[in-house]
Amino acid sequence: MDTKAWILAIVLLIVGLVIGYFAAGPGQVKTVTTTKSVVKTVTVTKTVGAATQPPKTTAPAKKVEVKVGVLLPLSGGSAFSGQEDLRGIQLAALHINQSKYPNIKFIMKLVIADTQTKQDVAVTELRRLAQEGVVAIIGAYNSAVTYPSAAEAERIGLPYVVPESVSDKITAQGWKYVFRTCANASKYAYDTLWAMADIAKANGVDVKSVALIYENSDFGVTTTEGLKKYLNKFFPNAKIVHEESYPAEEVTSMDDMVAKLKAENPDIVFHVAYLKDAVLFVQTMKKLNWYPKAYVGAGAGGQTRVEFIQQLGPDANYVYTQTEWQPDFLNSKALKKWAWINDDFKKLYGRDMVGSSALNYVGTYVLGVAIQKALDSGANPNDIKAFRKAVRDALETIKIPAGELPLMPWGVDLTVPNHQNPEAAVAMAQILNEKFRVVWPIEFAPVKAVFPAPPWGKR
Amino acid sequence: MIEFSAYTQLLVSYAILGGVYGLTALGLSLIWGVMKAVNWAHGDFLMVGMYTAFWTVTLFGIDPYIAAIVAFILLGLLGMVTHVIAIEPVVEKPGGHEATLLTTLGISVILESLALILWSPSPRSYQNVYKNTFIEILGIRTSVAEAIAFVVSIVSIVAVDQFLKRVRIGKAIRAVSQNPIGARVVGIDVPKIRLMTFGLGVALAGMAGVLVSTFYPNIRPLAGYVWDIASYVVVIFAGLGTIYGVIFAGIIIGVTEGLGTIIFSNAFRQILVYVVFLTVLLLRPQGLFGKALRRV
Repeated sequence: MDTKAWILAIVLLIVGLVIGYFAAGPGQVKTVTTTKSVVKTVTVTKTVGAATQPPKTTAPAKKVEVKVGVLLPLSGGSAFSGQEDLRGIQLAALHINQSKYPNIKFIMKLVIADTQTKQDVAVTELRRLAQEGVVAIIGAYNSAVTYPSAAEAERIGLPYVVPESVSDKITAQGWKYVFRTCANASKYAYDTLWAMADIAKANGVDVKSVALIYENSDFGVTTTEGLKKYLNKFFPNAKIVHEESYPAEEVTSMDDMVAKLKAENPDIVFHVAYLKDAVLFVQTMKKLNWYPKAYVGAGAGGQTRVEFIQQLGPDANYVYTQTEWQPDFLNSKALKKWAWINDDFKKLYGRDMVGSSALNYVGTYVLGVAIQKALDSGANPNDIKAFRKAVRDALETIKIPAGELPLMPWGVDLTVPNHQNPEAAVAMAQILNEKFRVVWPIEFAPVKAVFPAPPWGKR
Repeated sequence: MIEFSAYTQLLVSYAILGGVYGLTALGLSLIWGVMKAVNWAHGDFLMVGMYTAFWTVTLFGIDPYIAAIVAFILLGLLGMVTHVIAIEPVVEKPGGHEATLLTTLGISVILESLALILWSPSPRSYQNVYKNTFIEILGIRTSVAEAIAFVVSIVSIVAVDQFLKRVRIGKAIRAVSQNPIGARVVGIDVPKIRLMTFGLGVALAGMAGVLVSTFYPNIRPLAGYVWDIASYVVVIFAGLGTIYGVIFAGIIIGVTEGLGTIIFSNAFRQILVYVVFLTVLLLRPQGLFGKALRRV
């Protein structure tokens, strides 16, 4: 190949890579979030009504600035989820920096890194963040990416808060620096079964057979392991008539799985899926004209996303999905006081928060509380190694009761030996009239679940 | 154990899917097989076709199959621009065919990044009646969208084959692919023919993207990846330069995928495809329908 050809090829690659560098917004670039950086939000919060008024913004007076590393998939297969997570984290940091939480008095400076949904990149980026002097990490959405990066954080003594990844093994290693604020996969599985058992009982349906379908990464495998573990506790007479995994990224057709299920005709199908495969599965059930008594999205994956309804329209109706958070929660007496957070989110992004943004908001808040505790203990943020240890120690003392934690109906207790928050719970929603409606816990549900779902021809 | 009717249903479903693989591979086959240039951005052109469908349908409310015509024209123009920037300057140089791999890799990164900037990573899809309307023949059911994609696939492949055999420009394309120097000697404008070939290949990729988007719920910047891999497998499996081979290879790959999932499980889906793929290449290195290179 002659010189011109090489030069052209290299120039094209460089141009592509440069555009790529800026493509995912702030994700691939080290960025800083301060109170001054989002002027729009300052005005936004002033418009919030008196009933839901957050604590007034106070003028920052020589606050300590602390760097927090954000590790998320901002490009690659999970980029759209990573972007949503980032919105939650940035909003929490903004509120902390605007002194919306009087108990937190420092400036949180976010240093953002993109995992590209790759394990090796996540580990490399974590090391880079550590070198840049972050005191803690929050991330990293995909369990399969969170696990190795958390292991690296443990090795170098960097506190790591996991607000959303659910794989059990992340908090099963006895790691001292890793803390999870959300439920783990087993708890998701436990609550899924509990919810469906309650709903079946309330509707007088005897469940005799179930099927387990799951995407084959850590997320799907661990959630399904939990479902198998607790199945007979909630459904003593039920048998697993079909179990199958699949690669979510590569799948182009789900006809085979639905045809097998149609032949077995289980009462309930539990499906652990991302968005694309969840949509494709429902489309295929319609194509093959079959629907179980209940199709349940376990693990709060693809079925819990607003895009799931947007893409399926009325075909999404009657789908059950676990949900960490719904705007409905803010109508409850206990959580009404947090409505201003969602109002700010809506002003910024034109829509309500979803489970992932809410979970990441909460994780960032908890980390903020821990950093403040570390500062209050007299730890010097300039002595980075000692300060990280102080933040770790503070995280280990975090206990926030339900009602005091923003947005969520549960509390946080990280004092437990494995640092897995035992209080995190997962509600069950059903899509009715193309809207997510909370149907479990039944005593708090505004609507009654439809069980069994009507067949396609009678909708 | 699934019933015979379900088994037949699956074989038909996967044959249709294979036909769609053939359609997505057609543009690649034309560029790679006929023009001997490697288009690494093939999947990204598919993705641009999907977005073309999304925007034309949602903004103007037009039928997705009219969007396919729009995508064919737009992507054809985009393909020609790409050719001028990334293919023509290197293709005639020593090692030029390998160079196209690198230049189109650059184009691929640019397209994916621009899609990310312009449309965000959020997956999209659009409502259309075709994916929600079903045809049932002898108990075998499929959506109209998939059936149309399959039919368009066969029609496109026949049309391209006939175009190459009967139309003057098509014959010139074949002449350039077989002997560029000889073609130049007899007065064929080789750069112009290459430009048209690349444009046509990308236009077909764009049209395939629209047809896939009518039933596949995943329009996002990386959406072309999964179809890209399938396209490469189909083209190599069929043999470089064969047009009809693409549809047969696509159907064989599709049905093999289906058999892998029926006999074993989804985990074996790709394994069985690649076992068959490698076996065929070991026995026929030129591909299933390709002509063997003769020793000189």
